[in-house]
Amino acid sequence: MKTLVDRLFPDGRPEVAEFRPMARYFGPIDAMIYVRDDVSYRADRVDPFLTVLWHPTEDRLVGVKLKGFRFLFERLSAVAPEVSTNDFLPLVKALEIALAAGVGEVLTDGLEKKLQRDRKYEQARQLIRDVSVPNRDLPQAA
Amino acid sequence: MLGPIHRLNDRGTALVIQAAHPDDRARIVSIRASSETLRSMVSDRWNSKIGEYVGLVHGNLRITSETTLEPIDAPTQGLLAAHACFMGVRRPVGKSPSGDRIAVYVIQAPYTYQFPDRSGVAVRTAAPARSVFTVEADFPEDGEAEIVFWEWVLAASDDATLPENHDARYVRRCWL
Repeated sequence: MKTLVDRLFPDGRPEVAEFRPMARYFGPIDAMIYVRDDVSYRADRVDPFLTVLWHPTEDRLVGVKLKGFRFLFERLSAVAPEVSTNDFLPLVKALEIALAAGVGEVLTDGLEKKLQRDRKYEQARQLIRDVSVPNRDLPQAA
Repeated sequence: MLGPIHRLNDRGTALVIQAAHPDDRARIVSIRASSETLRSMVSDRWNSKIGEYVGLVHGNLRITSETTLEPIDAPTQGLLAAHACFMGVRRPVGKSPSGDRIAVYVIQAPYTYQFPDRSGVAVRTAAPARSVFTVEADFPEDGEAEIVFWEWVLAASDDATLPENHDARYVRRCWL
């Protein structure tokens, strides 16, 4: 009997590995997503470039989504050309670019909203501080 | 669980999803799910994402009964259950400065799903707290529409049926 996965991939199943924390570029939405836990997270939009991902029931981050990643990566490559040729990209470098790029949306916000944004960027930074993405998985190679 | 429409997606075509058109809620169209997105999720064994697709985007699924632990039919309307739709996301997408071709469907569901094995039977669990489920579909000017991503997002504090800050994140509301 055909399973659902058989029906999803009639030309053959992709290679299946065990879940582990991972950063993955999703080309169709142009976003780099890092998730630490395999849960139905709750996405919390911070600005046009950053969404933080909360545990479904607990008050803790389980992931980060960097949106407009192609734009972020091109901007990063312009200021630090070595990122295009290095084997790995530390994800926190892209987060720094997002912090600067997304500031326009909060220019007219009140102090409390700006502090909230800064706090979420810091939480994201802590979560991905040791995460690097292989160069082959970046949008330039997609 | 099923609403007044009572239409189900075909189990034999797991990648083709029925949905109301963003510009005309009465018009039901078939949208293909991105095989690139699904392939990545399956490769990474991202079971919660596969479960969400099976249970909330497609919907015609079998689950493990919470009482008997046997497989039972427990279909949902999938994407046809959407009660709101927005068009355009306010962020760069690829080479475009804005995602003005992306529709975002909003679903309120009491459950989410895990897909812990490859037997075709999902596990139903309570939906994440204070959240709504969203499905993004790309509607290019020329070419076929494609479902590109899905996720739970925090609900608005003043309207628990819609995503938080929906005015800031989406360009326009299509229907509600």
